[in-house]
Amino acid sequence: MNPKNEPIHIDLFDADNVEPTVDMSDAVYASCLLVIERMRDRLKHLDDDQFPTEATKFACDLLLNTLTAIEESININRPSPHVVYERLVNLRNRVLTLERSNSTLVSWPIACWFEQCWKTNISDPRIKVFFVQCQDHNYSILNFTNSILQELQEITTEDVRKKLADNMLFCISLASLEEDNVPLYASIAHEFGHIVSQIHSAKFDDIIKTKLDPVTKAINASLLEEKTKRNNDIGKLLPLVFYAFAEELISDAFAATLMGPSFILSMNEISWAVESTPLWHAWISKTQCYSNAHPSMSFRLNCLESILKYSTFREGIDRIGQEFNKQGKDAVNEKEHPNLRTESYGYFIRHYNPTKDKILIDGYPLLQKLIEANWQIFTRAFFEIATESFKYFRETLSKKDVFIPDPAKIFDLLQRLAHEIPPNIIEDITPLGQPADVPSIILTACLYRQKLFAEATSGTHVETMSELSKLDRLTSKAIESTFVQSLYNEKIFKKATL
Amino acid sequence: MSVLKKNDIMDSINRKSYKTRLIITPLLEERQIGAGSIDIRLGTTIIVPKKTYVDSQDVTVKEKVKLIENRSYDKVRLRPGTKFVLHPHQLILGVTFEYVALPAEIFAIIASRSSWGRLGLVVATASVIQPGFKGCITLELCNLGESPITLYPGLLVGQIVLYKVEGKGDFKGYEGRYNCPTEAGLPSFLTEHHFEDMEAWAKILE
Repeated sequence: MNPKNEPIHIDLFDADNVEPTVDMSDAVYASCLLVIERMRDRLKHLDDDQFPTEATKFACDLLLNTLTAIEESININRPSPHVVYERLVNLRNRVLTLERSNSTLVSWPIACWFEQCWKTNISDPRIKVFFVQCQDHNYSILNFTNSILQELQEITTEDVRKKLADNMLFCISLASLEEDNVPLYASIAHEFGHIVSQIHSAKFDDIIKTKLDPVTKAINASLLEEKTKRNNDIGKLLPLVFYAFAEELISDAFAATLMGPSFILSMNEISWAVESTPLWHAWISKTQCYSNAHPSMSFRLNCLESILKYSTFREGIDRIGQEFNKQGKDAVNEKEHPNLRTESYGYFIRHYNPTKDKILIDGYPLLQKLIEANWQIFTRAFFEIATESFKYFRETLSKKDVFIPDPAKIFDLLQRLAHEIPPNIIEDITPLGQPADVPSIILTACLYRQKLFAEATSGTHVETMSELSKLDRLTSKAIESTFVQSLYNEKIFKKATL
Repeated sequence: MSVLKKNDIMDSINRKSYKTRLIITPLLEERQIGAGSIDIRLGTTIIVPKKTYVDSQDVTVKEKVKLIENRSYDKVRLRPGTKFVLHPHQLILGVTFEYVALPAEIFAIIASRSSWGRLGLVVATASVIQPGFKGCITLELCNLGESPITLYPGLLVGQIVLYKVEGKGDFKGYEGRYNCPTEAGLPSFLTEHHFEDMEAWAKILE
């Protein structure tokens, strides 16, 4: 009873009176085992048939084996229970990641196509990639195996970790806002580029060193003028930051090789959300052994436009369009020919102005100042790295993976889209036609998207939205169709030659 | 109206103008085009009605229609090679793998293929496709037999019979509710005209 209605204080944990006499280890272990059991249950409930590619199954098995390893470790080695608990909580995020590797969220045809590219370019079959949808408006790649192995430090033995590291799994996250925006999927290729650049690191180390040598020398000379220990540290950090910036541009060059101009258009659209002022941004880890850095989007777009000769490509499509109209390929062309004016295809790419670019290196204002002082040679060096990398990829990748768009083909596919037909077939004399390749389909969709943007006015947002949605549907269907048709033709061909 | 024979179908497919051309894409084999019909395959999306949380599917109550759409279905996407088991007396919504674009003078009907029909599989109950329609066609798949039927994307489950529309008059194009669908679609009762009609009937019945 509390007749005066006064607040009641019940102090369960009075630190002065309670002696920590109870060993909580076993209680925490029991909780850990329950968390393991629940995570295992969730993993076992995942439906294999819903994985976008088979690689998700490997990720699932890796997590299940990890949980078994932790369980065994609890029973045999008895590591710190609190550390085990913390690690399990972290691992739960990986389970959530796997739950988003689902073909309801991720388009399986596009994931399958990229997986094929992965297999062609990364010859080691133990290195695999799987696809998930993330909550950011961006694409990213994660070394899934390493991220799990990190959680096992101190709580399992080296032998166990070695065994689990047998398959190297990477996880590519797709932007959640793009779950249906298939034309933007060209950006996935950039994430592949990070791995490919590491595989070809010997070559790229040479390129980076050569191109950045004048910048490094200039900055080191400035540092020498004022010799302090701090300056010495900054000199050591230079390669770290430079390599991180360069890796982004090398990955861009890889994506440009694989996807062609659609990568420019995809990047351009992603930049709407991430960049209001053009900024080169670097962040150096506390241990000074790792750096994350991104050149400004406008610089990257400018490099891409230049190395892909985007304007020449646009002119090519324009010429074919004009020729097409002149000859009247369709009997009723004038009436039914939708407005396929191509002059708008570059309109939305932000105009690059090098003087507007800024650089921010978190926590290192002196380094930032020195780079600013050498801005011109700095940006020129990175431009040359992008150009050289692109040249290298064009020469070394298998011909199948180097995408050189054929304006005539692209124009035919654009025509199909304009008539509300999926751009999946390159017509030939047979009624079946030839399945169009995925980069051509994505490029067609990107170009058509630009046309819709160019036509949008303040009074037509709803119509444009509906047209964009239709474009996504038709593109998605085209990718699915072309994938299945190619698979089918391959099987039939194999059967016929047996 | 007259049924299009193989030669007529080929003529329609081979027309140059997109406006008058019959599009059925992708055709994986030429032999899908038969003497008087085109065989069609099962596509990759399936909508599975759930044992519903709503009390009844009363489509004259606007709020309920939304509830039916939101809470009564699961969507499944199948990769080639994966399967879906259709149990006896179960209804699902599938979709054709082929995208169809009918010109103004062609009308079509979709029907089961006889072998599947004999197993008890019905592929379409709303089988009419209007001239000018563009899109993948939603299939209402029902197993009327007594044993489960395993379905895979790509199976040849149905056929389209094409008819030439005769008579004069301008054709404005397809005016239906479904705009270039590429996946199995839910019922669309909330379209203005359709819903007004339903509401009118509800009032009469009061």
